[in-house]
Amino acid sequence: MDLSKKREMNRSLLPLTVLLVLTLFLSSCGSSVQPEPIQYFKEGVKDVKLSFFQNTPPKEIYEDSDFKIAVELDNQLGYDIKEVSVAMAGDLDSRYLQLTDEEMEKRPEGSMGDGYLLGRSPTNPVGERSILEFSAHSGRLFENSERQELGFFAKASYASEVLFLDTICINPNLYDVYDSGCKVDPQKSYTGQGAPLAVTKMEQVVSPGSGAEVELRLTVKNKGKGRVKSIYVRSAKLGSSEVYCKFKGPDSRTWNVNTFDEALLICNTVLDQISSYETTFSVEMDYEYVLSSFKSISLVK
Amino acid sequence: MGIWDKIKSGTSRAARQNMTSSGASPTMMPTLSKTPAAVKAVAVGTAATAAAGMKIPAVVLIIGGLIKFSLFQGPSGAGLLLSIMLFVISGYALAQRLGPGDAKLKLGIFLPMIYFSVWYFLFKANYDPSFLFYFIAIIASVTLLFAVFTKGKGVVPELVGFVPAIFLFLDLGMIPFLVQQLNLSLTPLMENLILWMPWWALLGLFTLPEEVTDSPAWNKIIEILKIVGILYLVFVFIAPAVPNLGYNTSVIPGAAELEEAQQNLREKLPEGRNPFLVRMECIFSGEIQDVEGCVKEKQLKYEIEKFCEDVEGYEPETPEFDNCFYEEQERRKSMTLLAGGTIDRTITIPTAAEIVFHEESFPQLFSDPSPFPVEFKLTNPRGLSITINPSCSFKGQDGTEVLGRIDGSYGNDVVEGETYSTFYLCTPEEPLQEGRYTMTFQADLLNLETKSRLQRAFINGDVLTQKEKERLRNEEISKVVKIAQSQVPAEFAGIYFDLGHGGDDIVIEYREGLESSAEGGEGFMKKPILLRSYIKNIGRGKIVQVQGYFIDLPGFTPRKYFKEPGMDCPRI
Repeated sequence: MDLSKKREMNRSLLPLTVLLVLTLFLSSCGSSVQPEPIQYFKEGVKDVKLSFFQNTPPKEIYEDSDFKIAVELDNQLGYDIKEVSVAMAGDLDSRYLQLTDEEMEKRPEGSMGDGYLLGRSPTNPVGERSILEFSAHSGRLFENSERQELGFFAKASYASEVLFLDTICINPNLYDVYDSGCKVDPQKSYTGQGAPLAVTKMEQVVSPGSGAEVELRLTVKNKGKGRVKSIYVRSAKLGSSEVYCKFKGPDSRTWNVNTFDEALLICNTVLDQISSYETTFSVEMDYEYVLSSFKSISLVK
Repeated sequence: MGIWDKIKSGTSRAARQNMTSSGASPTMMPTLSKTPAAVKAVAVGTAATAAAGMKIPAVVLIIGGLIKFSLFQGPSGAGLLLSIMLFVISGYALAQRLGPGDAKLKLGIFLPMIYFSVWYFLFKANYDPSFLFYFIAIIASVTLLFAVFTKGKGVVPELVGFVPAIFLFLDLGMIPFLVQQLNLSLTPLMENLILWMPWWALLGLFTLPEEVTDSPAWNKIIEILKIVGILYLVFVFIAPAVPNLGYNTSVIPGAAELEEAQQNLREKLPEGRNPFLVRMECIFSGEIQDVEGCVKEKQLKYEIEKFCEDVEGYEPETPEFDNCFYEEQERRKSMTLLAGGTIDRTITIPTAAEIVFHEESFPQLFSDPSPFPVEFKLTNPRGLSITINPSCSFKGQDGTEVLGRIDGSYGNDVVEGETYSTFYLCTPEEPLQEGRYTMTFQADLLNLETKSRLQRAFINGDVLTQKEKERLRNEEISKVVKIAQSQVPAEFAGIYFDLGHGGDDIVIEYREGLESSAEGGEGFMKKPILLRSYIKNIGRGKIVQVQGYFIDLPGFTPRKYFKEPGMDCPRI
């Protein structure tokens, strides 16, 4: 390719490149938040947002001075949260950073009372947020030290619920090839139910014949950024009938271990119909959750 | 114009000359296979010129790097200027090293260097996210444009351009500054990097062309040196990796701050030999099985020799020197299992003293009765009440010692200010004879005080499961307790101590309800908690006496003591 053709090609490339770069910049400017349709509040994985309010505390604090630590709690779940409390933990050695006992733990003031924050719903699409303020006092640096890095956590704990609801097809008569009812889906996946605790998979195992039974195996996972302290299966229903569920492992309705990542919930019931049918399956679980947010500040002279 | 273009034009020029000269034959066109002498000379000359051009920046880097390493250790404007010049030259050296090619492509090397310079010097290393967003977006656009214009061939030169920026940072002392700013523990790796790395010279070595000289032997030697350079890097990097940084905010120092940090750190590190040379000694002496052990042993031996010679003042190969060596060696052996510690980087101005001999004012004639002036400087940031007891002496080559009398002091000067500087005039008690003397000035500093600190996290060993303990340690405690060892100010001596289950473990498991333990009796700790401590000389002098030490542990009661015979138990 001779030089003139090369130049021609470069010239044609230039406006294309400029256009590409401009498009890149323009597309990143001012994205508008699309309002979510209200029917999606109890879907997906949602978390309570816990964060330190901007510049409170500041990145650097001076010796022997009072300052505020502001923590923001924003309930973005599709459910209300209750028994909410926020506690401070970490490098709170009285030498460098002093919080009084009263200041170590606080409850947010929600519209429905202390320690209660509303979740997102059709009547409250933005959820509820609260800012808690802790008063702190800085101590003195060690000897003639110039600065000291201090790290501490804000830990929020709350109790909430999650509702799993789905319409499933059950076929007690597996061996009947000509069943004209619904189509059974032996395994289904889910993206979440609007909480950090989520049912991600459900497997259906039918024992056909007289006295047919169905076993529904739900995979329950912690998809949020915090930790699940305990889970309790409050109720489970297949249609209008109560279903007995228990976690595999503890063999009970309660999971009470502080290091929950994933568990299998097994629900069994006897089927009273002989042909396939569609029905709703619901599980309500109560759980306790802990979130933490870390902050590092410098104590300077 | 590249080398190939020069050769081609040289060839065609020679061909045209051949055609126009008398006796030229149209059939006798020079070809590359039958290149006439004139063309060969052009080609060889051009290639030689190209090779010489390639090595000049590399050689300048090597020489400049060695000069910087040898002469400009401390913070100085000249050192900084030299670093910047070497930074620019390294770009040229790398461009040459990329080999023959389009010069426009090689310009890509300078792009990252320009980005770095603009960001670091013009914008003062601004790391504000909103600024960085736009800055990086602009850089990305420029980079993309360059990549498109060069059809992707400019990517490699651009990547290579980051190398000078990295070396500039390393040369100015980024690592010691991170240690000071972020309170990282000083590992053997960092010590080696700080003390023994002439960065620009090393880069110059790597950027030398393959054929540096006309002599194959010399070229081989240089290739071997390059390999040795790489091996040097490998050996120096043997120690554990730089500790996990895990910090939330980045602190970008200025160039002057980096150099000062490097100087501060050098002063605080014990003198030792070049670890690379020591390693080579160990390997060639047959100690391949345990090179690290051999290196540690040799470094320790060197430290003890330096101590006995410089601090205790014994001549090597004398009985006193041997005795000192043996005693110090035995003493250090007993300290091998004691607590670790690290220099407290947050105390940037520790208590320190400096003795300055004003040799220009020393009397030169042995009959001159003038005194020998010695300046004594004391930095006392905490305003301690320090007593200074100076003394001096002169030792002749024949071993005779003449004591000195200090004028300008009544003895036992008490200093309480933050800085103190005075001149002591040392006059020999007896007249000195003609010859060489070694003057020793000694200042006994009394009532010095130093404090160290240690951070630990306490967890309930009964309630938490092993998984929960691990989670707490990894996700929470490690973010708060970043330094596992005791932090000791870089002063004359320090108290190193450790509290816990051993091995610098930052987590201590406690057991509640000890007195009513179901195990019966008094109950016992699931894991014993040990307090280990020792006092270490970390200055360049000698500890004359430890008047006492105290370890503050509220809520703890000691159960058993393990101590050296003759030592008092600490007050706790």
